[in-house]
Amino acid sequence: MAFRYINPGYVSLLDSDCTAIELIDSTYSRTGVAFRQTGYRKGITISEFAQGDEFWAKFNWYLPPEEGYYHVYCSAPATYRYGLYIVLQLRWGMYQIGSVMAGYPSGNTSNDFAATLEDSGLKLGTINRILFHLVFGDAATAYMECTINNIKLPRSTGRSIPYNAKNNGKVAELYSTDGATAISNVILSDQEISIREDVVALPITATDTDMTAGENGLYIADAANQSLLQSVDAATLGAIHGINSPVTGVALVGNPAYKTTKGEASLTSLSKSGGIVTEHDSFSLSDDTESVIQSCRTLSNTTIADLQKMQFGWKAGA
Amino acid sequence: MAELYYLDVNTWRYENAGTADSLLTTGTTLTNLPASQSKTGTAFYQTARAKCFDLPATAEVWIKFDVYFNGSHRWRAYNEGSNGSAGVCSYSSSSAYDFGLWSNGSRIKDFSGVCVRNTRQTILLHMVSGTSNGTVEAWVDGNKIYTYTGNVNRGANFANIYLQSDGSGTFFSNVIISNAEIGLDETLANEVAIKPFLFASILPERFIPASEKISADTQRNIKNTEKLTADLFRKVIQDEKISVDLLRIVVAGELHIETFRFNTLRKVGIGEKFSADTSRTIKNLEKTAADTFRQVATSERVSADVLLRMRDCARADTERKITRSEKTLARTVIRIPHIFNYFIQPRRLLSSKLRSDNPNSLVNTFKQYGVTAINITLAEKTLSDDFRFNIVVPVNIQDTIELKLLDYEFSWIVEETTQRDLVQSVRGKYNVDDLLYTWFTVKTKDDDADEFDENAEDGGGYFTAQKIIEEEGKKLGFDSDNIFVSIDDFTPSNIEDGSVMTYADLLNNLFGWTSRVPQRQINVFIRGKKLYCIQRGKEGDNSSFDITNLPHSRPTINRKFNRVLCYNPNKTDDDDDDDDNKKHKFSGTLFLSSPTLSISYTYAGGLLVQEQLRIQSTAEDGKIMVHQTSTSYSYRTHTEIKTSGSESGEEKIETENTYYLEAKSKHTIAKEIEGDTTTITETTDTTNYHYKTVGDNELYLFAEYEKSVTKEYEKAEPLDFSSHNDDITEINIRETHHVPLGNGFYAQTVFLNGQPQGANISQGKPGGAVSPYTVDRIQGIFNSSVTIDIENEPEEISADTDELSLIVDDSFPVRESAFKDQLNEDLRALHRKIVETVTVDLISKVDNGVPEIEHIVDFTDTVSLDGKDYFLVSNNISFTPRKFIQKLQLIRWE
Repeated sequence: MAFRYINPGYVSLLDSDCTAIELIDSTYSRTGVAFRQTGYRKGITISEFAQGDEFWAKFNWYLPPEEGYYHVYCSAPATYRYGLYIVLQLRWGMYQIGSVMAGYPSGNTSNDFAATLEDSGLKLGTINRILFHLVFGDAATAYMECTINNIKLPRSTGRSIPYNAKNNGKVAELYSTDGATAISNVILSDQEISIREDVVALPITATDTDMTAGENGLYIADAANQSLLQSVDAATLGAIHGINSPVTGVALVGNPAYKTTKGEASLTSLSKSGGIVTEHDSFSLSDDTESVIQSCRTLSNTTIADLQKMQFGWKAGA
Repeated sequence: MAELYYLDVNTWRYENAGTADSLLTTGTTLTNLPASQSKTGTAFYQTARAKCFDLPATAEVWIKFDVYFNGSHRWRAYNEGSNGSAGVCSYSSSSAYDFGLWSNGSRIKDFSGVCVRNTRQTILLHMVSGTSNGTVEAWVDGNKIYTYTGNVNRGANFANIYLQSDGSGTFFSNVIISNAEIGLDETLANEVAIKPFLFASILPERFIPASEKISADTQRNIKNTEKLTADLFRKVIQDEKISVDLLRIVVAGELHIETFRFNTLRKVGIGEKFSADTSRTIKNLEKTAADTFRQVATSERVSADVLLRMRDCARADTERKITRSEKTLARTVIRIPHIFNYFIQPRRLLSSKLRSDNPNSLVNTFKQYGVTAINITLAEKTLSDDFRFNIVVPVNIQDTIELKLLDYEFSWIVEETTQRDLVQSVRGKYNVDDLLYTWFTVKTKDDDADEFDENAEDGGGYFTAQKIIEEEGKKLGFDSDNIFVSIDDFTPSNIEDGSVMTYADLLNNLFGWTSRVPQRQINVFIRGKKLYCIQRGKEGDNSSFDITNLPHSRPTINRKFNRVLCYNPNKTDDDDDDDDNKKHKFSGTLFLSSPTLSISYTYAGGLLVQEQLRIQSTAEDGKIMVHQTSTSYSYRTHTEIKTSGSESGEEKIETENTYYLEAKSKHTIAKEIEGDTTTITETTDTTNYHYKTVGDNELYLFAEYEKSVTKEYEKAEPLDFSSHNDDITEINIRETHHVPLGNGFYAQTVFLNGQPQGANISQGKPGGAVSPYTVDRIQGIFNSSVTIDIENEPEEISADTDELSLIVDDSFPVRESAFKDQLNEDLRALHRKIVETVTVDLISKVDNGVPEIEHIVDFTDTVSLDGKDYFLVSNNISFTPRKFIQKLQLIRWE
């Protein structure tokens, strides 16, 4: 099952047990929001992830202009810390950009990818685009590869990468140091991601709903089957990014989304295209007024222009 | 939103999340409430004790609601009517109770500790009307409070149900009313709240991060048999920055002309020049990897900002990988020399007939390079031998010329060229970059020696001169096979271990002083790639070259009485026949010596070439201060070469020389000896003077480069030679530029270590020619008073005085005392001797490229003329296709 996780940089879209702070600053992120997650073995649970899947991750990593000690770690779900580990330990003029064996990242690392900052393509004082790709398998078939900005680093091969869901569940780890780094623009998928892909907020032109519009953009459904469908301002988006830019995925986020009652309550994500409403993921809600739900979908053969004809939304559960 | 709906025909249900809109009474809706006050975020209150819900009358009713109670505004959930209130209510905080059940207008029972102030509580009320079996029961937050059975509403239906509060501080939400049972856990049907956001991952059509600028400095060499008609010459000037090329659309089979938006006009033209930092050669073999995978199929149309016209259809998918790691760090310049082979094939291989007809004969080089003249000056005591060529095939500055001229090889770097019509005059030198500009640390101590004794009568554990030359020569690529040393070896005392100097400095320091004892002077020179250090008298057994029977001009023999106090061993003045023959350019050494002071000045051809100074003083506190300075000067000759044809048709080269200071190298050692500790400050200043030609024949100084290296270190006794080599405390490079401004004004700009230090304007040409020190030729010798022993000045000096005893020159920089004694003895041996200098030209015809004399007289030779043996002073070689002249200056003492 194809999955796609999209996060412009909101802490609330990470697992709730993460140690993360949210940074609202366009210095750190092109979307204006970024996070810094410092909890080891924490990140994003991808329940759809299954044995046999490849893992693709793309994120932006802001590095401060000063030299210092920074690292970022990104591992695939169910690998028990096989993943991308980038450390900039400039005090020694050394860099490690490599894959990670089991264990704590500063332990069993190997410099499979690049040795120097220049070779790695990383730049200080700016937002770096990082693409990571991991393929499970035995030593002959498994590999990891990484592209930083425009530099494609050599592929890391020759090492068995087992799928081992019991170790770390289905959590894709994503953390960086306390230093003034920031992660944003995260896309995770089991299908190929281009490093050029960007997470953008879709501007809304109209909302069709029979829910009650509350304050601050909150909508309240007090009866089953009430629904909400929003139209995207494709023209504005197209002016910025090109109207024919492919849209590879869409994320419907309820932030917050909760039930106000004690009974069962749910929300189901909807999309409407060509007059046909399709239901997608259904989320059972909690009464925690700060909980977040997200429904991500992979799109294909869709451009920004096509978004004009589409609507996205939610339906209250029966 | 509130609504009443029927679950079936008889069962109805009313739900209200907390709005007053549908109430029959006038109420107020509250919004944006925290979850602690209302789960739905909204609530209402109304103060009328009257029917507020439009509900069917019913005999049984279930009412469930959330209430937020502030403690002062009481609330009531009643059915009101002619039978009085029935239901539940709260009491204000002034009451002893806070919660009560009512029926028929009377209290059934009161409770305390049920209603909690400032809290959202869930109340469930169940009432059944009946005269005796009616029911009123209530739950609060899921806990059953009480069940009353009896007369409830006297059996009448409940028709006026309301929720009321005394004021805005107490309000209701989440209201469910039904005639069917409502479970304790039951809630509003599916009431949810959501704040929706939409994000998408998109692939922007053309991704150019705003922060990244495109500046392409790339020269692309595409070596392929297929020619590209465009994209070959691309010039991106920095001014034409490409900031954003937003829309580049490549859609198969479709041309989106209307969506083009150009921010940049990019001109791609053939014939434009490259402006490139990088020259890249792409070979087919190179593996490439790129994040762009481009496939150009024949049928696809490309609409791009570059129009590529491909005559030959490209079907290849090219992956290109650009890494920045492909850097070349080189300190080596590989020069491919011009080779002038100009030597005679061995006789045994070729008959004389063959030799003259041999296509490889000497003429070949003449023909190939169009050499019309070669002029080489081999001078004593200098590493800066000069050579000049007149050739037709031009060479470039810094080219290497390897010349094998008869039996000698030379290797030169071109320093200067002058082109006049077809003929280029080339002036060259040894590779001075190595000799004069390569600095290294000189090691004079043998690490294996047990101890060092500066005052020992033998070498004291220090390296000898030969050893130093060989060790340090390795650093310049002279291995031991390429160094030929034939000297009486000694241990120098004027070079500290760890001194920083160039090889030229080193040689000068080692051997420069030997000119004071001219009959054992050490000449240093380079032939080919070999370094020679040869002491006069040690040229070798078979070195004598007899020129008596060779064609030569009439020798000019000059004999002079010599006094050692001021000796005048040779004269290098070529212009013997000049008008100005009253003055004689002084060559020799002026020195004066005492235990505390020793000064010597050495002149060659009237020019000061060497200056040595040693001052020793003792301060009151017992400190001994020793100041040693050794300065060497080298000059460049500025020569105008006039080539003219004489009557006989031969070419004649005439030169006129003036001298300009070219380099000054000063090595200073200041020692402060206090007890066992010696503090040493060592300074090496090297100044190079660069000249430009102005007008026809004048030079002016246009730049001075001065490099100064200062070290300061302490030497404790016993010697700790762990590593004071690292103690270079200061390196300064001062550059001075002189720029002519016209009208005789010159601007002068000074840079210290690259930083401008100031500028001024002066009048008058900087850097004039040096005027040689001349002495009266007739006098021949000088007033000896300049050289007397200060300490033991005799009252009168005459030829009869035993002056020899006065001369004890202690300033020779030699450690071995026996060697010093020998030097003094040799010095005295010259006293009252006759110095004979001979100038003679060896003139050789060149017949069909084969000269009559096949040997070049060099410092490896002694010269024999008319049965007398001479040492070589200088040899000026002129070689033309017709004539081979060696102008020799020779010297001997008798």
